[in-house]
Amino acid sequence: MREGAKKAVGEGLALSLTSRNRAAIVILIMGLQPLGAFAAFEVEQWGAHSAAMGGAFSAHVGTVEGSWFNPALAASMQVKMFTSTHVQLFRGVPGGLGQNLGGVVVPTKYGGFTLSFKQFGDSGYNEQIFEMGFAHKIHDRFSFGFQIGNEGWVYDNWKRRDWLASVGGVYEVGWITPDTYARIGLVAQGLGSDTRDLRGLTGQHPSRYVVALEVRPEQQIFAAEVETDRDKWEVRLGCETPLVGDWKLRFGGNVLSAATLNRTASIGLGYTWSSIRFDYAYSHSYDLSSFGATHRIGIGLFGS
Amino acid sequence: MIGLAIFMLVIGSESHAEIKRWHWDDEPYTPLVERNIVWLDGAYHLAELSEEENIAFGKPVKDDFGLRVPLTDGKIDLIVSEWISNSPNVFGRNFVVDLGQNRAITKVRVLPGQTALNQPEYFVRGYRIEAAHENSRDVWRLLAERPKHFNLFVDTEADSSWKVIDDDGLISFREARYVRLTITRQDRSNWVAIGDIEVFGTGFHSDGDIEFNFATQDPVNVGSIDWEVDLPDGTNLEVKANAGSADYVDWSEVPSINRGVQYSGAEPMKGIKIKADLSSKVAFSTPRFESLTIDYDQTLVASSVFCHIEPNQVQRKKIVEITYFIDTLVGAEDYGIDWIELNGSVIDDIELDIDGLMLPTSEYDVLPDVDLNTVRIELLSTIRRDSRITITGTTRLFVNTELRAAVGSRIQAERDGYINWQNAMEDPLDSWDLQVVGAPGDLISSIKQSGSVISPGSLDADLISFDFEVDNISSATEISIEIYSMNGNRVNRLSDSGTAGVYRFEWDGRSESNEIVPPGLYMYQIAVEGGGEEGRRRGTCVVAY
Repeated sequence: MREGAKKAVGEGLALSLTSRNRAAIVILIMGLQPLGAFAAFEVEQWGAHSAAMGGAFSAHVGTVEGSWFNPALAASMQVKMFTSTHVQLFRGVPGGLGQNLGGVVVPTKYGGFTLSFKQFGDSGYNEQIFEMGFAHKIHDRFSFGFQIGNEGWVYDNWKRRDWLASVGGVYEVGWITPDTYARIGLVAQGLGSDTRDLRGLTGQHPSRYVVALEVRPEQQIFAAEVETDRDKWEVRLGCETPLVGDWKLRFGGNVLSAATLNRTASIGLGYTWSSIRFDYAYSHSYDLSSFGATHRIGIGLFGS
Repeated sequence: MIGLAIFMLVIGSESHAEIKRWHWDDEPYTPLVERNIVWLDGAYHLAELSEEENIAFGKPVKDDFGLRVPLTDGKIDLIVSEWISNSPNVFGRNFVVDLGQNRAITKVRVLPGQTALNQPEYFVRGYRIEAAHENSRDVWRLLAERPKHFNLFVDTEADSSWKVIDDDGLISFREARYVRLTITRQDRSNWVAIGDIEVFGTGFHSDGDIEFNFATQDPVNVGSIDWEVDLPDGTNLEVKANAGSADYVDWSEVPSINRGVQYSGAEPMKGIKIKADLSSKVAFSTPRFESLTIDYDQTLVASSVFCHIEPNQVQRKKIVEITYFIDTLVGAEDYGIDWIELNGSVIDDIELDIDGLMLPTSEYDVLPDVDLNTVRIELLSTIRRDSRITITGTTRLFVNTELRAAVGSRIQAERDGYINWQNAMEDPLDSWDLQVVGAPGDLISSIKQSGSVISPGSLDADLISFDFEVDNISSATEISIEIYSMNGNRVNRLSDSGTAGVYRFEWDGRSESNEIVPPGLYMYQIAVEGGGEEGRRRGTCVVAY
């Protein structure tokens, strides 16, 4: 039954990538009105799985969300996978702030291809990100990946657009003890971004760099990473541990240090049923507690 | 033109004496009060601490359970002002004195309680004294320690490591805010009685104050009050002014004034008291209070100005009609009245009459937005006779308010470069107090956001204003708006202080360091200090360019 379901999902994904649909995707990409990146997109582009682990996900293989953090992680994917997350950010803000994220990874004999779409918006304000990437294992221990993204926001008559690139690498440290596996991730995001707009005003989301480490003692996962850009530092820590049956408990935290601190703690659950995975994450910022908590709920499908 | 005919109007042409300035060094002068202040090199400074001055006196001291204990009251009386353990098990018990700020400590002395003086076995046998800086309260540095053979009087000067002696033999003192006494040994299983903990230091006093009394033969109109002060880092000077005729002034109820502001009490008057509070958070720094200048004018705008209002009670937050009655006596030697200022609330729909006859609006200009809760009226012709000026308008009030008035002279203003307002006195028979009745509303309400986008530098959307009402607070409270980017980083904070009323914050899309913030969606939070969740409102706005 389980195999059957997996096969059905795999066929579904394969169907979505027939040649005709591939052409449709290309047209979609080419025809997408490129909006602008700049310093919008401060909202973390995290799914329900990664957010529960505090966003320490740049060395986490086996998920679509991993490729959002580090494009090289798609090289290790063994099956097609799709995931989507709906986010309710800062529930204390009247009207609510919604975010939707979705992505797919397709492994091929050349490497892993990724596509993702992310949207965030308030009434009248809308951010969109469309990304496509490719990752290839160039050595038994090292994978390399890159991603091209088109990011843009629009509000009333204002809109901005930009093309940005990300590159990443994953180094498989291997078994550091008989029961513990380790992996290192390195990422450079937001490359090629301009630093001024047409009127010469600064204020662009700068390039940022991530160093990540993940260790897996037996069935547990511990992850830590540091991200930095021109004027910010962020430290992320996360953990995943089996709970009961196919349930997994995740928790983590991240500290963003810029002009002020933002410390966030997260906890979440993951459940796998047949070829479907359900994820939930609850995040609460200590420094923005009055803005309310953030909820993320995600669903993922994986095929053959 | 009818209005012109109803009262005598003479544009003053005679010359008046210039405004005068009083300096504290104009003549040999003795301040009324000096506390911890010395005169040195032409300025007032904080005095240096004497060797035997106990800087812990009166400071809070708590035991390791967080309970206040009477160990800094300067007394060791039996039971009432000593600390006695309630069991012989006192090992590790400790007491922390909070000096309020970092001080350069020279030594600490622990006095036995009267119980221990009567029975010496009731005193500690071993002790440890430590100190901690206010920025690192958990890092305790050893000041003195004697594990045994303790006698009744501890003097840490001899064995203290607190002093730092450099290669040149110069002594410096580490600074600390907290001093901790820990009992480390007790013999015979007796209880322990401690009387007092004394701390001695060096450097300057942390605070001091000085009062001046400025008096004149004849009533004058006091103008701006200014001073010169040198403020090294960590030091401060606050100045307060009050009517000099009062025998007693509760200075805690008198707000501080800024440099160059005008005296706000009733005028004319024959005396003014000035109090200057000097303070320093740095042990070896003191403010240098160099001069004090009080402008005063012996020529008055009017010989007397009395004010009262009607009605004296209104409904909270309702638009109501208010009438000011300003009774003036204007002598031939006075400047005459060209300006009227109404303080305490914003008054709209103003109508003005003099001695019962309406003044045409062409005869005066109303400047409604001079300052928060201030309306200014400029008369085109000078009032130079005794008159009752009646001003009617509408207002909307949140809290009980004093609605005051002041008058000014064009001649004086043009001559001196500013309007020396002569503040009205409250009518002895009627009041200028306005009592607001009715149940208070929400702490924050009626939030209006002018647009939702800022485009810095543009002509039509270069800022967003947030208008809202605050209710149900009667004492000065901080009201703020904080702007956050979506990653939780606070990019700006604007604040104001006040009581219930209407507030407006304007954000121009810049960070606290005055840089234009990146475009995108931002969250904001309006907050009333101490208001809990009821005192917070949140929303979003967009910066776009």
